[in-house]
Amino acid sequence: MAVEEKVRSFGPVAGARDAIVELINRSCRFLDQNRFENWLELFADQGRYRVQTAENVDAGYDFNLILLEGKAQMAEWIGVITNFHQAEPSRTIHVLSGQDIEFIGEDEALSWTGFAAFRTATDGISQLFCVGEYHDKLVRVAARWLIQSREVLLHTSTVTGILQVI
Amino acid sequence: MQTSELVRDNARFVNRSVYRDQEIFELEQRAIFSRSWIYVAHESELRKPGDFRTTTIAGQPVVAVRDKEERVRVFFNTCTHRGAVVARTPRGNCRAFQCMYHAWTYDLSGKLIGVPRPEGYGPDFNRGDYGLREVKSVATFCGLIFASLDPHAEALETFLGRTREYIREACEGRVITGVNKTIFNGNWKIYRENFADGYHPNYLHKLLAAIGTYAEGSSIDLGAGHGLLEWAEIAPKTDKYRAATDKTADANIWIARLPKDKERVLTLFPNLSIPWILDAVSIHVITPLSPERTLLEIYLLGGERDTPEIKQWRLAQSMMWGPAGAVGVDDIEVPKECQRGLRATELTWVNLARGNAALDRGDLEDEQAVRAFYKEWIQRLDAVGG
Ligand code: FES
Ligand SMILES: [Fe+2]
Repeated sequence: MAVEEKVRSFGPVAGARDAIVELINRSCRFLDQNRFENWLELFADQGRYRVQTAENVDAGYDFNLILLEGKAQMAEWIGVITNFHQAEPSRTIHVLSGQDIEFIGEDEALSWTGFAAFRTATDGISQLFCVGEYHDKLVRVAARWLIQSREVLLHTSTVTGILQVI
Repeated sequence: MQTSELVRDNARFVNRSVYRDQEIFELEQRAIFSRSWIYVAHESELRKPGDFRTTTIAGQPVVAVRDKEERVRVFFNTCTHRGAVVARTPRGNCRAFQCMYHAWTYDLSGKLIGVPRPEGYGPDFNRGDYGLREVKSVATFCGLIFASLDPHAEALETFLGRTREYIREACEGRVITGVNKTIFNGNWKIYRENFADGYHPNYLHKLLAAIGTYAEGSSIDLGAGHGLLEWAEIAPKTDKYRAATDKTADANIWIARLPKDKERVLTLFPNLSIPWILDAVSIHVITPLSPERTLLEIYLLGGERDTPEIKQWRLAQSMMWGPAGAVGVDDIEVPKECQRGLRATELTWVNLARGNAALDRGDLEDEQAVRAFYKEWIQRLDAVGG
């Protein structure tokens, strides 16, 4: 393959890969900084967000810990978390694995990320509260990569304490 | 220990030590969890012979299984050889239980049917002495399977008493459609109490206060430690909710579509709660792990004949409960925050004195259903440890 051709076929993909990695990192940073509105902006308009535990999947149950179809529902859930829930203030940190990204079109990609989430409560004690996988579908809309859907598979079927969004 | 000092004045006051004390925790395991009927599984989890579910009773591992004759049996989940569990996963199906360690094999009725190289034990070895140890008291009501470690336990239906009509209403013809689990750092009784507490929802649950689906009703002592809260359904007010969430969102998910006469939360002695709010029914199993640590398992129920649309609807409303629940988050934070405060040993009592303690029925915000629990609780403790 001529060098020029190579650059043309991989060049945009390489750029897209960086953009997707950045997008996923950012989605976690916004959650960890309680910037839920910003987190929401990372999703496409038809965005979907779902959290299931491995135990439910293994047992063949359809139950979702959280299922939000479309941005309106996602905004509603953020409203519940920020206005109604009486959760103890805490900080979280997501620790991510590298991403495994697969392009399924010029403007579409799938990505897998492993994560562990730690919570530090008001007493300053930190603990691991869940571990899981993000299965993301990403789309490029007007030159910007966004999350079309995020399916969270929680390996942790027995959560420590609460889990409002992950 | 003087248990008589723990609960006084018709259960209007309960000693704070009941939430912290290791000795009381151990006494509860002996006096209550080792004697009472304890929920172990749902029939919809054990449809075919060989289907099993593992859980614990009073901290001991057990496995519930449907045997070849379609009968539900419960065994201690431990190999009679050197003790390994014979069922290793929360649920599954097997033709026989084969121990992973030395491959001793038990049929579904618990009989030991296989021992590799048995001659090593000599001629006196009798397989008949080494069947799985069975829990003798097992009974089912409306799909709920209970077991008791007391071989002379009273009949399950007698134990359930007045709760039966409400269990029937909530659970008849239903199947498990999902589960969520969490471990919280609080005493098990605080979560159990909270589901018999009709005083808190309008104050703790800001979501419920905003949509205002909570109205006049009753708190009822059903006897034998069981309690009931019930209130009339009212149409949700959405304005406040909309303002706080999103202009375009509405509260339609928080209405009931299916007919029923009342909203209800049933609490069974000792560790079960069955809320039926809107169209979502669930079974909350509250398992003490230590005085300050509790496992909560919430099993969501659907109708056996639900259309896919109704099924989805119920599942969506089931997002009310659990570690990610719209209101469940608050209910899980409560035992943790109470536990932290209850470590103040300078104070002696918690107050459960709302309403007329001489009556078994009061207003929704009275505490008949909570006192029902403590009256039975202290009686059981007194019977063995007082
Ligand atoms: S411990 Fe089960 S066969 Fe040895
Ligand atoms: Fe509550």
